[in-house]
Amino acid sequence: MARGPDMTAKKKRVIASYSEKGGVGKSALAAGLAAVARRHKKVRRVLAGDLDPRGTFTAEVGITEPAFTMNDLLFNDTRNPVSPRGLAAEALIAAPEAWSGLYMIPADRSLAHRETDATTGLEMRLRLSFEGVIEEDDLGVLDLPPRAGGKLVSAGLVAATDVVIPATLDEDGRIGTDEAMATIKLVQDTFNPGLRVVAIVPSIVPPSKYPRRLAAEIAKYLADTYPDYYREDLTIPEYQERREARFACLPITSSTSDHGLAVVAAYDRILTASLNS
Amino acid sequence: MGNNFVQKGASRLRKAPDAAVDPAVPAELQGGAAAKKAAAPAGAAKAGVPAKATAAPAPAAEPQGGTGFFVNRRVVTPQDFEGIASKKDQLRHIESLLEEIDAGHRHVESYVNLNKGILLEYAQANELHLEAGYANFATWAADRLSIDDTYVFELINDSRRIRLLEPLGAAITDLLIRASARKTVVDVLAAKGPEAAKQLVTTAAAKNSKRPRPTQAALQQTARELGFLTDRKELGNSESALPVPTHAAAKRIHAVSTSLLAKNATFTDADALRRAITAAPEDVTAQLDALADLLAQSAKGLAAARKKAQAAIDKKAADAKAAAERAEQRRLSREAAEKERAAKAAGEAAAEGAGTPGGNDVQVSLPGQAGEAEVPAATFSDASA
Ligand SMILES: Nc1ncnc2c1ncn2[C@@H]1O[C@H](COP(=O)(O)OP(=O)(O)O)[C@@H](O)[C@H]1O
Ligand SMILES: [Mg+2]
Repeated sequence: MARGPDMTAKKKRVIASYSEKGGVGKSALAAGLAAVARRHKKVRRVLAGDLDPRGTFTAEVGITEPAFTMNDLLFNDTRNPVSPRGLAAEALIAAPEAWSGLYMIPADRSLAHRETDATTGLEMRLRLSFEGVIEEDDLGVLDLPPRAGGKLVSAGLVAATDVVIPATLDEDGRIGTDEAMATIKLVQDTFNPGLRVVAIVPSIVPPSKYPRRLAAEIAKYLADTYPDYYREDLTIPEYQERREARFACLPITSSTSDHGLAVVAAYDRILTASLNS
Repeated sequence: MGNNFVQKGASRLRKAPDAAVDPAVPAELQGGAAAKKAAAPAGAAKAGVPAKATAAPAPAAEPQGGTGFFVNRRVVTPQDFEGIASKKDQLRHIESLLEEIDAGHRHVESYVNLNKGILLEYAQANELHLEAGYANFATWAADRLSIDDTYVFELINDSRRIRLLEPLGAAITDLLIRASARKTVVDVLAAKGPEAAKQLVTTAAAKNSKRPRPTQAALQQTARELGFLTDRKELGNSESALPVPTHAAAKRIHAVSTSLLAKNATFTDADALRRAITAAPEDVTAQLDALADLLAQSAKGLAAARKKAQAAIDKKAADAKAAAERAEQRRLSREAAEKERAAKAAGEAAAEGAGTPGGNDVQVSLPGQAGEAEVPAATFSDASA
């Protein structure tokens, strides 16, 4: 694992939820981590960023009609350049009551413009915008889009210190992981040498005693290919409650059912693994 | 931290100019307000300069003349066709309205360009942009008009051209409602004088009765024919160097290359591109993005196809080589067997029978020859020993 020199005991952490396939539970993981981090004793504030123009994470938190969005933050006015340093402070919005403790830079569809934005330094903007804003007892959480080689993915991976890759145990999960790992390597080799992969976690896994053959095959592939990262013990189970939470714009931590708690427990384990990595 | 940070305007952070534009929705379906908002540069409000130059004469909202169908912003309704029975008449009606609205629109555009250009020239000559806090004239003008820097001078030049052409009379200038057309005529005017310019316009207009207002291309063509302009190097007319293939699929690929060659002129004609970008930046960007995606996709497909084609060629060569080698081996083993038979016949009985012609064994090492692979490899060395 690549470790940057600034990775001392107390770290400013920004965790990115990332895979290059959609539907593998990236946004669910990002929102789940944000939800559990709010009540974690080591975390003061959760600062979240939505980098997906579809705004799934933003919608789950229930932010509508924000003054500023991720698109505004990443936009670089070449005629009247504004230094991005510290700019995140102005784009972060306090989440609604149910999500207290969470501040978010929301996304809307206009963010897709930045995917084709060729202005110099776009990749660095998010990282720089967090400078002086995120403190040592804060936790950053980023939801990345699934677009391979995209500017938004780069911006997210440059701003992140840690990556968690959710992988459904099917072809999408496998391919999404392979491609994500390749992109991460590229970012580590260039913009962000300190970027660490915390774990590849099995995601949206039906809780069956009899695992399906394909799932077992994919799990074996991931374990064999990424022995240092694949974490079966961090499996996120599939339960209806997770979808219901998103639908209700409530953090999954507000679920009281056994199934809801099982999902929360998984996010808790992943958060702990990240904070200890 | 929180909402108190984000009262609009009180912050360093500004709205991105494309914030209100959903890139997934075609430009023509986006709300007018959103599109306008998107076109306004982010710094415009802050500079404290009124968005419209107050000294500007009110631009004509309707076509000049005051008698047309569209005066007072009238909108066409189905009732407008009620009294018109025959399809021919309906068509004529539509064509005349299209003509009126297009010409009107173009006249307004010329009028607007004329005045904008005069204002900009004055501002530039007197360095008024400095008063607005801008160091660069073009940046100031571009911000005021929500256009690209490079178009500012284009606008001034067009305004100058309109003024240069005015002495030719309304009969001529009415035919020159496009900036691009004016450019060519001014070139001829400068090189050959006003009579030549008039002749150029009337000749070009007479050529195409269906389209009395000649396009820039038609004017250039006519100017060349009349010997007013020397030939310029033309883009996009070079023939593909490859011979036209005979196989249908290859022909289709050839056709794609040829059409690409022609389409490429769209990008290499910098003027046309700049005009398009100025007129509809979101549209053009969206189209360019889509095209870039398509090209990237096509490039992938192309790379894969080329790889396959190359592999097929390589395989053909390898197969031919293998076949030749096999033939050679068969010949050698036949010779060896013959020698052996001759030796046998001579009475020297061999102790162990190399019954299978050893040459086959070479095929063991060749891919795709599994059927013949049962022969032990060792026998070949025996036979050749
Ligand atoms: N643990 C889970 N249990 C059940 N459904 C889930 C779980 N995690 C995600 N989902 C559902 O799976 C779908 C894809 O998840 P999402 O987070 O949107 O994926 P991505 O962000 O990778 O596209 C969504 O419908 C979501 O509600
Ligand atoms: Mg998502």
